[in-house]
Parts: sequence; C-alpha cells; structure tokens
Amino acid sequence: MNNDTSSLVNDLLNILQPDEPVTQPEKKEKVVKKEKVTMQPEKKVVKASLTNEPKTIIKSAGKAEGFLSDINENVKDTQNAKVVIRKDLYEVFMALKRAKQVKSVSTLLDYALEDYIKRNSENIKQLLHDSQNNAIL
Amino acid sequence: MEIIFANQKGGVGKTSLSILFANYLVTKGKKVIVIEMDIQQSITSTRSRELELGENLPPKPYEVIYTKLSDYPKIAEKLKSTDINIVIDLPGKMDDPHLVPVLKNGDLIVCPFDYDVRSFISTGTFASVIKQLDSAKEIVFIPNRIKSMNYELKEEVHNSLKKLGLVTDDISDRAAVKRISTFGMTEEQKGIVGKVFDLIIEKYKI
Repeated sequence: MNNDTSSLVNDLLNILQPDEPVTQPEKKEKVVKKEKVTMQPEKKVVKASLTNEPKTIIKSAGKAEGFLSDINENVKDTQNAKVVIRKDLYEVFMALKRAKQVKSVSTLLDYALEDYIKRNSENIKQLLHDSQNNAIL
Repeated sequence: MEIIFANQKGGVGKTSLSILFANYLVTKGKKVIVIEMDIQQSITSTRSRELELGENLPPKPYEVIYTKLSDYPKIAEKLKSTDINIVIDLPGKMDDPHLVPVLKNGDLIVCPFDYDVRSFISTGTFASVIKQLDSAKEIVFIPNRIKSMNYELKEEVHNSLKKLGLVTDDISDRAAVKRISTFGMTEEQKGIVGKVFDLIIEKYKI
C-alpha cells in the first residue's frame, strides 16, 4: 500500500476506533444464529380442473405468500386456468406463465415490488423520508 | 470511487465478488480499501485467518476495515474526498435505514444475482427501491455462480433488469472462484471474472 492509502486507512480507523490501536480488527468467531424453523405440512398438489369451472387455487409457503396472494386475486377470475400448486416459487411462476396468467418476469417483478411496498410501507416511507431529508448523514 | 456490493438477497456472492473485484483492481494498479459492513465479517475473518496461517505471504494488497452500518456517516466525508477506490460489502438486507446513506453516497451499486426466480425478485425489488431513493444511481447486475445449464428465464430476467441498470455477462459457478484470498488472485480467477470486471472498470472509469 502506498502512503496516501495508509494515511486514509489510519484516518478511518481512528474515526471508527478512536480508543484502540491501529491494527486489523480482531478475528470474530462466526456466530451461527439458530432460527426457529416451522415446518409446514406439504401442500397438496391439486391439478387444474379439466372442466370449465373457474377453480384455481394458489397456495404458497413462507415469503411467497404475500405477492402470490395478489396473483391469486387475478387468477381467481380467470376461467380454466391450468395451475398446479407447488411449494417452489419458480414452479408456481412457470405454471402461471404456461397458463398465460403472467406474461413475463417483469409482471412478476411488478407484483413483487407492489407487494414489498405494501408490506413495508412504513419502512419505505421512512427510507424515502430519511433519504430526502438527509436525516442520517 | 465508492463501489458498493449489495443485494437484499443473501447467498448471491456479494462478499466473494467484492474481494475478487478488490483483487482485480489491484492487478490493474488501482489503489483500494475494502470496507466490510456485514456483521458476519467474512472478509475480516478471511484476512485474519490468512495472516495467522499463511507462510511467505506477499504484502497486503489493500487494507480491510470492518465497521457497523450505523458508523458509516462518521467516515462518509473522508470516503467521498479520496481518489482511492473504496469497495464496500453490504449485508444482505433492505430493512435497515442505516443502509440509506451508504447506498446514496455510493457511486456504483453492484448487485450479484442468479436466475432463480427468488433471486431475481429480491434483486429487482432491491434495485427498484434504490431507484426510488435516487433515480440516477448507477446499478450493475452480475449474474453470478451460473451453472452450465439452460435457464428458461434468462432472457426475460435480462430484459427486465436492463430497465434498472447494466446487466453483465454471466460469471460461471467454478470452484476456482470459491477459493478466495485477500492477498491476491490466480490467473484462473482473472480469466473467469476479467471480462465482466473490465467492462465495469471501463464503463464507470474506475
């Protein structure tokens, strides 16, 4: 490292660790956080109805639930949607695509973003507020 | 220049790519400091382990500094006023308001991702939120750890993310890019990441 880099490193470390000697931060043991895992019962695979009944149910596990519920709302009104329920989001998406319920991943991204903003509206508002007012910097 | 490796999705290779990028910049004669803000401290641990176990190590090509996200504002001004390249590794999350100043100050956001729908959604949402924070923010998407298989959604994912930033070529899922050192990189690693990193260095004048 050359002088100006060393000098900046020292400045940064002095700002961040004013009471500690200028050295490498000490090695930290990796902490493995135990997360509570709740196993959900296997979702039943329901094949699309071959009749004309508008029976389309999409269920999902975990995180996917929010935005899939949006998709579900759209699909509910559609006749003969051939959707197979799977746990895996990719499979759900591909099934929706094959059933022509979503046109592209862009549509999926729109759903996801809308859902994210809905679920995190307060947080997003705060982020934007902080950003606009430079509240943190 | 502050180059931020970020994505709310974990496990997409932010840390590995940030080290590889820092190593690559050094091979190009650039001055680099790596700042790690992920509480896992993987880079700091790697550096410490290498210092403990390594023999005949070359001089450190760059310094690695760990700091909490909340401490970033203390050093923001210093980082802005230097011509040294600052490579920042952020934690995989989007629900922390302390991310805002880092993302806002960053000159370039680099988002590794893969073609899995979950990864795409996380990445796209993350990038969309960044664009809401600052519509002019430059974002680069790197398809990372891509296996040699046919990805049905690849073209669509590219087209969708291109609306938010630059999408590079794929970086393939090879063992060579998993054995990473903070003391330099191998010729094989250069060969794998070189094309993508050269594009970024040239386009953004790093």
